[in-house]
Amino acid sequence: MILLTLIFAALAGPPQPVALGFAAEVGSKDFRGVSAPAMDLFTLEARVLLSPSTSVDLRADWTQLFYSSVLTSSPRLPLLALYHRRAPLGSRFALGYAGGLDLALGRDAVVVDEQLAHIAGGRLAVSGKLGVERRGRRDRSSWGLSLRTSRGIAYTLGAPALYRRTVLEFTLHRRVYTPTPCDSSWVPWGGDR
Amino acid sequence: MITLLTLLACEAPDYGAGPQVYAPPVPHEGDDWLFSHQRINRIDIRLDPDAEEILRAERPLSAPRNEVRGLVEIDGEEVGEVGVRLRGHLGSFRRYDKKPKWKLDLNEFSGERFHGLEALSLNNGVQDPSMLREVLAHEAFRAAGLPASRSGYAQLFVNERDYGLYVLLETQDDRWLRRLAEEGVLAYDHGNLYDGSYLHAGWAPLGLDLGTGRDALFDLEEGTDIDAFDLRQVSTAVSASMEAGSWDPSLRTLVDWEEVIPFLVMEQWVGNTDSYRVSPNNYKVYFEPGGAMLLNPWDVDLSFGGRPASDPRWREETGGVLAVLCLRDEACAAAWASTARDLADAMDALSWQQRLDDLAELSREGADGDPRGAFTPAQREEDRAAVRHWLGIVGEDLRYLWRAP
Repeated sequence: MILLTLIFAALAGPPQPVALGFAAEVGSKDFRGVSAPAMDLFTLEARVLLSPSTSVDLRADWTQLFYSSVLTSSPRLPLLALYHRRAPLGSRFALGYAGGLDLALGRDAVVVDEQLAHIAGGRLAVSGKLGVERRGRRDRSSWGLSLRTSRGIAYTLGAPALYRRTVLEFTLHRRVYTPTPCDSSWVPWGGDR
Repeated sequence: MITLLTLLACEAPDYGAGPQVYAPPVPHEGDDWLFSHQRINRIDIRLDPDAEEILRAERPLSAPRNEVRGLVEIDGEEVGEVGVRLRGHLGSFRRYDKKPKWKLDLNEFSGERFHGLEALSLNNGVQDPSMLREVLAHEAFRAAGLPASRSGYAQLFVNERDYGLYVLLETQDDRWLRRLAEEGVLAYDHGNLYDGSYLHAGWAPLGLDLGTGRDALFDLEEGTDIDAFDLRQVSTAVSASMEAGSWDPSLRTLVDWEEVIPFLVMEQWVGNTDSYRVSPNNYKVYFEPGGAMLLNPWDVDLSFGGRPASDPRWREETGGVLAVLCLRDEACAAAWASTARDLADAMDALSWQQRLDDLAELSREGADGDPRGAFTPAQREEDRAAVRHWLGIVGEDLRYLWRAP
């Protein structure tokens, strides 16, 4: 499965440590050997800045939660949690890399002994990401291009299956807070300024 | 508040009861009484609370569908314990407490057929306001000498609750194949029948068409499991033809074009936009033993609307790959055009307006008074007028669109 993800977010800086944004994924996925369309359009992303060069990125997809609840008897809430670091490659470029968990929490309605029962379902996968990030002029914006891949196991109706997902991510962040030259607390990419 | 919300969520809505439109029981000889256009059957399903809860959990794309045990009575005759499940996907699926589509597996638990029938399909008509489109479309395919289902009407009661009027469809199974062979529509009844309905990959619809790598997605419904060897032969020829830009020689013998071309024409005659020709969707594939492949229709409730028969897109190289390939081949395209003109004449010679009036007379009270119906009587009457208009002009449209150069 390969998808292109676009993330638009308001980037926070001190004293605002949390950024909020939206992600949209479109692309195609493999369905029983045949390419099928895939779209997750309403993904909420929160980026918690731990330091100028590190953050924890949390993502929850509303599209999958809504449609799996309405259209199937196996509702799922997909969650992505990544520990994200940036290593400076120059004054405006940085190497971005991240690792974490790609989860889906949910349950399946199944029939056991001719009665309806609910069993846990979802997925557990590790996810890694590598890419390049570039800071805009005067630190007002940044964009990045990275490849994220997940590998793990998905459970549906009690049956395990391999879960693989590869995503090309394009991120665009716009800062809500503009640091001044006197603001010593903000050092982009971890201290090259 | 939480208790109130729980009650609201769990309580089945009370739709009340509509008019009793079913006819008194008749002698049950054969199965013609069931697929009659002169009477409406009464069907009763009794489900225990556990079975109801299972069906209540079904959603449009739930897979696989759960089948429960139910006691069924048809036209006053006890069938016994049968398999009951909901049908349909994104377009026609409705929840258990609304007006779902049903499939009754009559011999699932008893192993005994009901007057030769293995199964029955009850279609809810939620995309067919007049409740005439599906019945007339199947009749049209049959009138053209193509394999299609017989139909009838039924008023359904589930645990004594009135579920309203349904279109009763002959399920396409081994007995259906046998009937067609006896009537001379098919040469043999023991071939392989595959379902070509669309799939849902996650929740994205995936039109299923012939092509390399797709054979495993077709479900074998009747016949012998040969690992889709017959389908694979056609798929390979189709993919090779598409790639080369000209027909693979084997395509001429692997596909029964004398049957497939009239099928494509009739999809236009009935104007089904959710069909093999357009989507591709709602078709079945049949291989006679050692013979060529043919197609037959299923779920034609979106007929007589959407894309007019005069729309030039019916002649464009889009939709089902067999249609595309046929239009790319000079001889096949010419055969398609002449078949369209011939069938337009042949269908015009039949009294479709009278058939529509008779079916409307039979179904009007049940459809208009359906307690779970999604349409007002005015909308249904408007739809009857639209179908009538279609039947009045479709022959001329076909002759014009497929006119000789």
